[in-house]
Amino acid sequence: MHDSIDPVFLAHQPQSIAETGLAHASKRGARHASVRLEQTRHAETILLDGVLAGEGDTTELGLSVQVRPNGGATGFAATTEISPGAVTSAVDHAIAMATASSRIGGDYGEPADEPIYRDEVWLSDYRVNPFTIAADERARFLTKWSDALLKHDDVASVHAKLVAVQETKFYADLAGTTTTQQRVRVHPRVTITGRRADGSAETVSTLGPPTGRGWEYLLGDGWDWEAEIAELPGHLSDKLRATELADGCYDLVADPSHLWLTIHETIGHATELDRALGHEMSYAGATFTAPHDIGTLRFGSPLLNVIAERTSAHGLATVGFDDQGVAAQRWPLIEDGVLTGFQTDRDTAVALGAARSTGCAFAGSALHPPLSRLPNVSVLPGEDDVTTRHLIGDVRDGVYVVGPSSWSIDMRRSNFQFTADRCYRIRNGRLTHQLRDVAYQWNTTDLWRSLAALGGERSYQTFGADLCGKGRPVQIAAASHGSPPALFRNVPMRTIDGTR
Amino acid sequence: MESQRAAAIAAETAASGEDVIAIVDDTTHHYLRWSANEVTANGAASTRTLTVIAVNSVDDGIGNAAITHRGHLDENTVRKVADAARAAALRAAPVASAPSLPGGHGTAGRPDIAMEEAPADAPPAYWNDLAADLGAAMTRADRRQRLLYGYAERQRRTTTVNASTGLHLTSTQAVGTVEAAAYGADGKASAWHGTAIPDSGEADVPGIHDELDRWLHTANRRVSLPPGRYDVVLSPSCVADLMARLYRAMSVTEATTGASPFGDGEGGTRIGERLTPASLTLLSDPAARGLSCDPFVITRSPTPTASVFDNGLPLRRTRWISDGVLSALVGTRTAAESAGCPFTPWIGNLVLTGAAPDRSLDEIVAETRRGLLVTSLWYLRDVDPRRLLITGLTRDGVYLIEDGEIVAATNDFRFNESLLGVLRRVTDVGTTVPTLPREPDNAMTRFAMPPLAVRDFTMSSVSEAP
Repeated sequence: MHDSIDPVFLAHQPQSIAETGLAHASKRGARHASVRLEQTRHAETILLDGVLAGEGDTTELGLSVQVRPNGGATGFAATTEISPGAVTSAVDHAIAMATASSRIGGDYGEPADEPIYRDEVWLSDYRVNPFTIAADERARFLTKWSDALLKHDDVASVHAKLVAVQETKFYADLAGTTTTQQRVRVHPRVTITGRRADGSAETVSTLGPPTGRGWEYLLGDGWDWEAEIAELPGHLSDKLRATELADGCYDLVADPSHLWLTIHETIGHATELDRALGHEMSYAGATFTAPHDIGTLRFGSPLLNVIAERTSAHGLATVGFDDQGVAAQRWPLIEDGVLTGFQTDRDTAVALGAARSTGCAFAGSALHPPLSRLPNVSVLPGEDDVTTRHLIGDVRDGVYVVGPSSWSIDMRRSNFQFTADRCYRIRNGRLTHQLRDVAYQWNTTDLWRSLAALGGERSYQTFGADLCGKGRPVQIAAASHGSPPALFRNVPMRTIDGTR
Repeated sequence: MESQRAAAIAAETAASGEDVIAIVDDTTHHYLRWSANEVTANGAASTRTLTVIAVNSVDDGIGNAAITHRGHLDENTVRKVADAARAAALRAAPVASAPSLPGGHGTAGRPDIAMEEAPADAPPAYWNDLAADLGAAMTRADRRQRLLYGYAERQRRTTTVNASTGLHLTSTQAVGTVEAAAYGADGKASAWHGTAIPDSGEADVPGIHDELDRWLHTANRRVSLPPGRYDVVLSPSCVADLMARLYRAMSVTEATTGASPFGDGEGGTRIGERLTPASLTLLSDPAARGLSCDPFVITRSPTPTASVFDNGLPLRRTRWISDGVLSALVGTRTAAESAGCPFTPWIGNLVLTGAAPDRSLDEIVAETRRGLLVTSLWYLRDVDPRRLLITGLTRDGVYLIEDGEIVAATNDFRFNESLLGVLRRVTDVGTTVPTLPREPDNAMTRFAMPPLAVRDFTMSSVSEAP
């Protein structure tokens, strides 16, 4: 570790502010109370054809309180003012919101217990804080890539974007837990566009994922950017000559660079307990799973083993402690194809009869209340040393998909449609050429039950999402998803042209 | 510190050869969320945000940078943010040229809005009324074995824009929304209704739940239907979702670079071309009654469709589609000049109207021989933005229409459609009414849309949800 908690954040004396807030909450008769101070810095640079087209650098600092008076609903209040007076006022406001909500009615059970952690400090695993790199230096990286790509004949335009984020937060609750945490993430992405003679266009994008690393990621730690940028024009040229696929059922080989989004939508969100309990029914949606399905629901083929965790190095959802003071954990969601777990926070864990939350509470900013958000959710590799080449070699008539493109899933996390950045035709165990506008459209358990083979440990890769929305008001969170390549049999696929 | 004082201090930091734009946003936000007849979340937040944009002339062009600070503001903080922006502008990759920053001053928006300021220790008074109405609705739902889900919020924002050119403008907006869903005892029948409440209006919570009751009663009879092409009647909310996506795609830059279907393929636009035989007009108007929004450009950080150099320029009623003909695209002054089209920046509301006589949704249904009434859409995503191909799902209410009558509720569908294809296949247009899209967009809650009848809508597969 080469960094420390941001001194600018610490200068706001979060411990003292929190103590003031908690003392006031206790005096007002709160049974449970927590105070969170959070500073998030988000920088974004966008270049179009090598020219700066958008740039922003936002720092958001605020405090929030959650207070639960005896026997009532929880109230939440937040402000960007940081002072003893502001936190006291926020406590009063949260109690007023709780009181108004309690009048409507409801059953407000006790949250799940958690040990107390005092004065814990945690930093994520990065070497160079991206905010120690000047904005013009960050932009220069994108310029260099853009200029190189624009030299290729088939490249008509280049869109390059870099996002860097630093989150620093302090949490304290009435039980006695106090944690101070800091993590960073970066996400460079380049998309190039080419045109056919008829004026129609195609794009391909870099696959390098968002990651909980620092500036070292741009320099090649964890991803070979130079190699990927060099290969991109060739992929585009092939895509410009892509053909259509006849509608039908095909074997599907999904690269980890594509499969992460399918895992995110069909397994990650499907195993959130708050969705199963209906909390997202009017917005983000529910799930086809239910608590009584644990141990009985055949989610996928026996090859499917899925782990949730907030502990892996560089994971986008990795933390030391969640936003309810619960220590980070690792636990199974699916074992041998059968549903065995859910993601919980301290409020939903009790509905499972669990003694403890799995630690999934996360608030998108100081101004948002924590809610259950995705941990890192990953499909474990197979036991054999199988590679992507082996999986493709096992397919007579199929499609190999690389990178994400569009996605959409119904409100029970069942009927979905995914497209890919690049789709390749597989004939008799070999890739032949790229396909255009291909979508696979099916149901979650149909897909995972059709899982026929997985790559081995050496083929395992981690990707992830840094713009996952949920809740009202909508909050954004990030989560990583690892997997080996996977082979699915007889997947319904079609060419999307708006007419079928 | 007063917002206007903070903005003025930041703007005054500009040195010779520099310009500085300062934007201060003050917001208050209250919300309530409920699930299965219980409150599951609530919240109140007040925020203050300062954005300082610095512009410098440098040897090889114009450097600019925006720094945003959300948090406590005192004079020292304001000067620190301004200094950081000015330093960043000197380091920023320069653009070759930029239009001059506007000057001028005034007060705009709705500074007279009577929305109550929340006292420090209590929710606004209207919140108690909302809670009482909601409690009554839940009691009634318990009796009828129905489950209510939903979200209500109220936001107010005052924005002050100052610039070293002498620009000084303020704008105040307030809006509330109520999104409510109801499920029958079997969990199969469901309905959704969304309402935006502009300015200081009150939510009609009992009326919303009466409407949901009506739809649940309609859903007592259910039939299963296969995928295929159907004539559909889209509710105003569905039309708002589709038009919001269309509006986001109407970018001058994307058109001229071939990233959208609004380009001519040779670096120009298709402005002047007919998009639909229907006499549809899509417009934005900052002064639209009940939908008023910021009347001047506010750009806190540059994007491909919004320039910080345009901050403060007035927004005027703009027809994006006029009687079926593409008539304007969203862009910056620079992009508009480059494309040879008028400067028509983004505006925060959207209105679609037809030329037909006023007709309600029920009247359009009554003239449908066989088709589907779709009441809300969900999870819309671009499949191919260059052709405006989208996918999505119906949700919480699809009904079979036969001989002008709604005869049964039916299953949900996944659809794959071209937005331009939908426009071309519009066969009937109803009365324009205020509505809310199902997919929320914090930047856009102000919509007035008609119901539309569209022939041959492509339902690709069946979704078994709920």
